[in-house]
Amino acid sequence: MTDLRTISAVAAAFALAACGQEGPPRPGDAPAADEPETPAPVEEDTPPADAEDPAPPGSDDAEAPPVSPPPPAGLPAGWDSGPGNLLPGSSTVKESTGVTDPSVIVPEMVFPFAEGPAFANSQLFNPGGFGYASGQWPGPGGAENAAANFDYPWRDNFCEVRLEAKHVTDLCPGGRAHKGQDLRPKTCENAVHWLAAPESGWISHVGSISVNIMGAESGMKYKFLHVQMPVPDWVRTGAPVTQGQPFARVSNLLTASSRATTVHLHFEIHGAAEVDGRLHNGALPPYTSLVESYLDFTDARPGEIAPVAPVAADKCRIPQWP
Amino acid sequence: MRVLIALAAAMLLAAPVHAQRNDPAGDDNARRIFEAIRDRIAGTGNDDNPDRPAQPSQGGVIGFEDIAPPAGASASTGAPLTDQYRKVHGVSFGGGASVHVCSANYDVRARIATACPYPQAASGQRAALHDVRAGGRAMQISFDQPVQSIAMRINPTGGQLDEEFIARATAFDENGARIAVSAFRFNWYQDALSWPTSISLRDDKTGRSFTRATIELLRVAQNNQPVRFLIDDLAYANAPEPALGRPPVAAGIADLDGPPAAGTGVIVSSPQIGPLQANLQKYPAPLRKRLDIDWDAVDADLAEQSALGIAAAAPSGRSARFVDIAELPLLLPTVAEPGSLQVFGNPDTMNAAWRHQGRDYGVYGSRLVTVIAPARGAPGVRSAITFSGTEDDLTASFSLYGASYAVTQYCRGGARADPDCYDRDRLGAVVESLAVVVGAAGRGRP
Repeated sequence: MTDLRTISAVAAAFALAACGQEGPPRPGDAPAADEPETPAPVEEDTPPADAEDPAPPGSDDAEAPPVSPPPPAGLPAGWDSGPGNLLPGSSTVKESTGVTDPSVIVPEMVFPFAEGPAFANSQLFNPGGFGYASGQWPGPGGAENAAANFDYPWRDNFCEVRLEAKHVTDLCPGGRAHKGQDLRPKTCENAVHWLAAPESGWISHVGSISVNIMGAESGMKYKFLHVQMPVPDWVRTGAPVTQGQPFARVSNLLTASSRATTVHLHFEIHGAAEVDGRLHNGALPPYTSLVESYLDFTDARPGEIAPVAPVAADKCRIPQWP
Repeated sequence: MRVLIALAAAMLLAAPVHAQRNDPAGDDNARRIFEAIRDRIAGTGNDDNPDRPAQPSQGGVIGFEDIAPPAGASASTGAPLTDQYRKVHGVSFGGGASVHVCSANYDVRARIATACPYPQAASGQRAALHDVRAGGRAMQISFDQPVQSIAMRINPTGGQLDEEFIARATAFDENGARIAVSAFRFNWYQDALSWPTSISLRDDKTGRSFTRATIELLRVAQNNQPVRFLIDDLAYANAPEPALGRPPVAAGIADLDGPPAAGTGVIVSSPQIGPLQANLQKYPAPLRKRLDIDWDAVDADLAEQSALGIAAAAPSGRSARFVDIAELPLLLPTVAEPGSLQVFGNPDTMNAAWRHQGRDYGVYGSRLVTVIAPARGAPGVRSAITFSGTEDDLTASFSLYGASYAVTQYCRGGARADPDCYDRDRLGAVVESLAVVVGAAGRGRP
């Protein structure tokens, strides 16, 4: 063990910090992180957005040349609820606002699902979710396979309510929050939908239900939680990955032996940040990075934008065990 | 190993560089420029003549002249553009593209009967249209054989005088990874007889080829909304064969390059790609800062370590070279199961992963920070050490030597099966046992 001045100073600060904070959850504590869920009033669909065309030359009224009206395409208007716009009732603050800074933390990344469509919304506060803290933040209950879970709009849930000590974050009201973004794949089918590497880089850890990837270009670390286990053999610490490469499938694993959550990806981006002039190292808000990467994804694959018909509820729970 | 070397090389050279320009100085005759390009590839036969065999190892020019609307179709609808050029050129179009005649073409109702409102195309009579209402934000162009560069003229279908637009082309490799972006702003003016704006796309620095490109035109006055646009004379160059040297179309494109016309073009260089690209997107680019390292403090700790005989464990095999590219101090364990310590990263960030006594650990460090405003009501950074975790780990993060670090201990089989993984004292002991290491790049005190 070193007694280096600087590292020791850190260690001393460490001890002080440890004394001053709540202990971590223990077995038997209330279930962790993403558990119950809550439905959410989902906004009604709005007509697809058509970008207004410039006027033809010589025209003063900006009317586009008369092209036969094609069928609507692309993402529906209002598909993105915006950064920090949490589902009402899912936050510790009345306004249900999270991090509204629109900065795209990682412009380099690609969308972390290998196929589309995909839907960013809360697994606790959308249909099939039962809220948080034994009803203190109630969820709607219902079925995981509800159409609303697999439809737009997207919702940021980085600052969604969480109270456990492990959910400490400097960035959200109250200092504790979800710290990631829930993303549902095309359907609720378990252990079917592939996850994709956001950047070329390396597998930095394979956990009991998680895979971490470090991006070679951005230097950011991506954490994928609720990953179906076992992962393919090649997915091991230190293995190189290529941007967009499928590496595992998303599941409903809450722990290595519990399928107590819904089929969804809990996605985190970790890196260093300057927050009000001080250094922060941890989870950063991924919502706008996901929006931008999804725009690129849907540009390339316009056939994978529209929601598909819901599958039967029992499909969400198969297989029962890893 | 080859894969890892290639990956590392890609990391070091990752910066895709591309250039494009607006009006080539003194020469805004698009047809002549593209004819010059065509001349350069004379003999390859890659023009619109479908009877000539393709020689995709060199490249070609597609002028859209041989596509006409189906009999009986309205001229205003154009002719769908999909895979008509695949057989000869190996090039396919997607995203709802169509070919239109460019001429002031008025029907009996005195309305424009074509989506191309210009009296002439960049060359010939026809141009290809991408309509966002039919196919999404971008025109999709796929290449059966990898290409090294592409270029084309691009025009809005109209606009206000001097209105600002952004043209953007993005290249993807066969895995779908984005490898290069070319983007620039220009002001549209009502010169219907010439197409002064061209966009090219290539990876100058690494020469990586690509198999798919997307083309977009964004209207600045509408918050960078994508709008419909026309392209004409798509020129492409396949990956060069050694005997050919510089690919002919790339040479032609190079002729188009040079200083951009004042106020209308931006040459994109690698450090600008992220911010510029994000500027073009829905949300803004991040503000990133590179932190200054307190090398004096590092040196003091290195000296003390040396005096105490403390040394970091040796990274396994190949990963040792990442120690040498790091331009920040690395924190590494002094004990690790043999062969388990792996280090990777880039000059500004480090990641170490190892196993000790059956448990996995990791250190992440960075001297590159993103400036972010917290949510209203957030506490901000309150203490020198912050603990956080997930179902799978506990992490302590802190600042040291001016950089930012996070040390993680992972649960064995998950937190429920391994409550000790949330033990802060245990994690504290790990932090305290770390040694500071400086590689070759760090010794240069960057």
